[in-house]
Amino acid sequence: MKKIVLVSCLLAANLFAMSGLEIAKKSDVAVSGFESSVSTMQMVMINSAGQKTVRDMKGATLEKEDGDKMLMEFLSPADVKGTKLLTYQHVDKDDDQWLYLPALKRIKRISGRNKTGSFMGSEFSYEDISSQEVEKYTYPGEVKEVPCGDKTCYKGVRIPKNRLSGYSKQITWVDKDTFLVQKVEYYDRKKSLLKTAIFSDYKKIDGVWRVGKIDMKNHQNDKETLLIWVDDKVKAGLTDKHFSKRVLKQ
Amino acid sequence: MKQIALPFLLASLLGAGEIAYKGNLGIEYDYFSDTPPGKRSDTFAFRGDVEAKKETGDGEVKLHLKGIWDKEDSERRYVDFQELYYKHNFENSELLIGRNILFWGALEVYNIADVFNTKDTLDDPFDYDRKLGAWNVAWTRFFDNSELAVILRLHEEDQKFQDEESVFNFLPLPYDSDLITEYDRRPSLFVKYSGSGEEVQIDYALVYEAGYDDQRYFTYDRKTGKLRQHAYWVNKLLGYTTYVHEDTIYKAEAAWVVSDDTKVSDYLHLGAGLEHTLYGVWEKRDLGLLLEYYRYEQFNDTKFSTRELGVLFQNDLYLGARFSFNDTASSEILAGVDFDLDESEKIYFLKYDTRVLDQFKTEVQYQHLSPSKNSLFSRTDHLKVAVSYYF
Repeated sequence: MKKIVLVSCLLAANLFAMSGLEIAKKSDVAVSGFESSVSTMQMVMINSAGQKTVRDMKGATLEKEDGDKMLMEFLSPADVKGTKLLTYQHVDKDDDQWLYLPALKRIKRISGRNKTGSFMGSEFSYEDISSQEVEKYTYPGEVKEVPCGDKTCYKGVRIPKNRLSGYSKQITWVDKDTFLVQKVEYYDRKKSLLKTAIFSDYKKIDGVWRVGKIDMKNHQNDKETLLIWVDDKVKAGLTDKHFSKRVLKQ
Repeated sequence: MKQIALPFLLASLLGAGEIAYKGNLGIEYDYFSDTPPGKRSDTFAFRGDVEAKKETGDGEVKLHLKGIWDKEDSERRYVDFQELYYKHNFENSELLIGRNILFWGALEVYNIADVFNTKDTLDDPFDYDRKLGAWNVAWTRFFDNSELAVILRLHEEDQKFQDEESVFNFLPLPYDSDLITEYDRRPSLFVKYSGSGEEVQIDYALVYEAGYDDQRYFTYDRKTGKLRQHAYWVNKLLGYTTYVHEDTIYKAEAAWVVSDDTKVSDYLHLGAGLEHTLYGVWEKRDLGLLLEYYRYEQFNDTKFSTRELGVLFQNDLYLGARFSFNDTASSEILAGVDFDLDESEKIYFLKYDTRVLDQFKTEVQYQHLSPSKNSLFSRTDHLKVAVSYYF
């Protein structure tokens, strides 16, 4: 009898335990529904000697079923002020990307396959700043409940499907109550720990959770980059028109 | 146009409302080895750009001034309204009136399709990004993935050159910059349709021009004993495209020209190339490999030759490499060689630019010209150092 009860309990625990995919879906739902957003961001790059370099930028995003559209405008340093990057993200093919160079009045189509490249010389790669659709990963293995700070988190593994990804795997910590990502460890292609990102300062804006700060530490070069949202507006009323090539020259 | 638009646009800019501005101030030094007799071996100049923009409801007024002060060359001391225009944005279209600069093209070394603005030969005849603003009225209609523009360029700009002691003045006789035009400088019409593919990563543009060719020729004026430049009327079809496949960007440009001038043959100018990038070739640094080829074909050999017209990219092959450090200073090295296959000339160049203290950009450039026996140019090494403060 005892044996039957124990097996039943184990089965029940297994039945009610969430899979990595389910947690990823819930996590995606928690930060979705912003429709469109307009943000002002500051990027603080800290080298191994502790010296800081600050970059300012404006960003706009349009939520789309088949991949978000993003427009990024660089406000500093002064020599690149007005440079814009327009990205049409796709789940099943390479992203479309255009770069506007104001000094030359030139719109350049660029290859959207550069996943591993550094974004503005920071510790963020293009892959890190692109939207993290659930379908971009597989979620093998068991999910464990672990303490993370004063919270309890689901700790799981996700593996990028894209063979051009710079990562062999990512370990995620997701808040059990809110399903907001708290921490991600990124492992390079040689399976060594490369970077750790700490997500913090979450705010609920118009019913949508938005991250306020990401602290990305590179364990291999001892550099660090903080990405801070200075201003963030959701449901901003943007449409496809605000993400056409016309806006690059405006 | 200039007399009417200038005061109106300047007054609009200075009226109430917030003005956004940016610009740079810089110094540049050029050194040339083996200069011919009578030519300076070095130059030193101050230069600056200021841009001011004000949004006025659905419209915007923009001013962009460029100024140069050359220590030796008094011809090369000037201020140019690169841009001074009013643009009104409608729901699906825009109207621009004034002076501005456009870029048309896809290739890296030379843009056959970039014909809208006259090249600023007084600044630097071999830097094709240095252009004069053009007075025009332009209406653009925007569609989902394409746009149609109708542009009337109202004035043909005179092209000035550096003084006779400058290495960049390769004219054999004194020059009078007052341009001679067929049909007395009438406006040039451009109709441009451009767009992007939805399923395939391609951008394309087609332009029809009924107007003055960007290519000009010189004639000798017996009365003054000086050379003068002629602008002639053409019907021109231009096109350029960029296609991305995986890590390679394929590029092409073409111009097919029917000339109205009895001295200039109809011609076809083609260019094609590719840029393949090896991402993360050394840690986070990228290496881009460049290959471009240019061909100029004239249809009547009894008229001006490419040499007489000063066509530089008539049968040229360019090989290059771009090394991007992807660091906080945006450092980059560009190296390459241009082979003129007809003249057996070679130009090697190496350029390094980086950002210092966040607000300064520095550029060091070296070029070696290895000319043929019959070349207009002499063998020379050219070193350029430039530092600019951005605000």
